[in-house]
Amino acid sequence: MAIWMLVAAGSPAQLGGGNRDLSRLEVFAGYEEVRAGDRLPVAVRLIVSEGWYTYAEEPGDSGMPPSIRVSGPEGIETSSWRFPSAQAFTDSMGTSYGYKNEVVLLGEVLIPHSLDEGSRFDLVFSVNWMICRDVCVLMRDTATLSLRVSGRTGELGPGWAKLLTGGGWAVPGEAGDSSPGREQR
Amino acid sequence: MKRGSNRMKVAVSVCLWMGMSAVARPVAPAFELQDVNGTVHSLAQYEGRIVVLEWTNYDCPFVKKFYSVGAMQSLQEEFAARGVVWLSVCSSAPGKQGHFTREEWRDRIERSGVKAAAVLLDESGDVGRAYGARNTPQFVIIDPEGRIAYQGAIDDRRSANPDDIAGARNYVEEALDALLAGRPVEVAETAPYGCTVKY
Repeated sequence: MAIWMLVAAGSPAQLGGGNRDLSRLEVFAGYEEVRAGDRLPVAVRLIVSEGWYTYAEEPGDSGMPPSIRVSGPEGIETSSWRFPSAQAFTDSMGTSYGYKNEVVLLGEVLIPHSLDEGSRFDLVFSVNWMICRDVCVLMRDTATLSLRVSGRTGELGPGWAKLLTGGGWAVPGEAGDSSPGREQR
Repeated sequence: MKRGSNRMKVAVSVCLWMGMSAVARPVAPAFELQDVNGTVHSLAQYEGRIVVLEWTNYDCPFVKKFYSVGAMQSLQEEFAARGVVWLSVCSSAPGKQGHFTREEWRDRIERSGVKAAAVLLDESGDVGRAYGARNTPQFVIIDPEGRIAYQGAIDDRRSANPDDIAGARNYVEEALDALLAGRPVEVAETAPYGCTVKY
C-alpha cells in the first residue's frame, strides 16, 4: 500500500473536558517500506467537528499552534512541520488563524542508517492541539506508525495526493512541482 | 569647544531618556471591583504597593496550565510574602466561560488553593477593557507610583502544556524581582497569549 495509515495508541486525553467527537488525530506515512537513510514523508491530520476550528502555526490573537513530537529508534530526526494557508477568524477580541473541518500538516522523518534491512520499527506521534468555538479545548493524543526497513524506497501514491488535497494542499506532481506538497492558492 | 559640545549632547540625551522613560510608563487606570465575598477593592487603597492584576478564567486551558500544577499559586504565595498585592480579575460576562456564581467561585478558589489576595469580579468588562485585557492569563504589574511597569504574557512559551512552564522565561517573575530590588524592568511589555477574555 502506497500510503500507510495510523494505528491509534490509545484514547485521546481532552484536557479541557471535551469529548472525543470534537476532534481526532490521524497520522500517515508516505509509504510503508523505507530504506535506511530515507527522508520519509509523514502527515498529521487533525479532524475538527463542525462549528469548531483548530489553529495555524501563527495562531494570531489567541489560541496555540499544534505541537508534534515524534519518537522512534535512536537517530531519527524530524523536520519542522509545514502548515497550509490558514483562514482568519475575527471577532470583537481580535483575529485568530486556523482551520475548520480538517488540516494536514506535513513533515519528514530521517530514517537512521543504523537500522537493519528487514527490521521493523515504530514511529510514535505525540500531538497536542487546541480546538475552539466560543470556548477552547486542549486535545492530546498519540498515534503509532509501524514501518519496515527494506532495500528500496517506496513511492507516494494517489492516496497521499488525496490526503493532501483534503487537508489544504495542492496535489503533488503538478508540472514543475516535485515537492511532497505545496499550499493551495 | 568640542568637549563642551559633547557634554551638552550627553546632557540632552539624558534629559530625553528620562522624559521618554516617564512617558513610556502609563498611569494605571483607577478601578473599584468587588471580590467573591462582596468586599470592594480599589487601586487607590493599594497606593504605594506593587500590585499584580492577573486576568483569569479557570476553564481556559492556558490558565489551567498553571493552576493545575500549582505554578500560579506558588507565584502568588511567594510574592505576597514579599509584599506584593496579587489580585486576580475575571472579566467573563454572565453566561460566558469562566463566569461563576459567588458560591462557585469560593469553592473553586478553595479547591485550587488560590493564594491571590482577592479574586475580583468584573462582569461588565469595564476594567478589563480599560486595561486592554485581551487574553487569559494576562498580566498588568503596577509599580508603587501607580504606573504600569509590565503588561502582557506570563512567559515566553505559548502553549497550554504544563511541561512547558519549567523551561520558559517568566516575565512576571522577572518584573516583580526587578521592582522589589529597585532595578529597571528589562521587559516592560509582551504580547499576551491564551484564550480570549469572554466579555
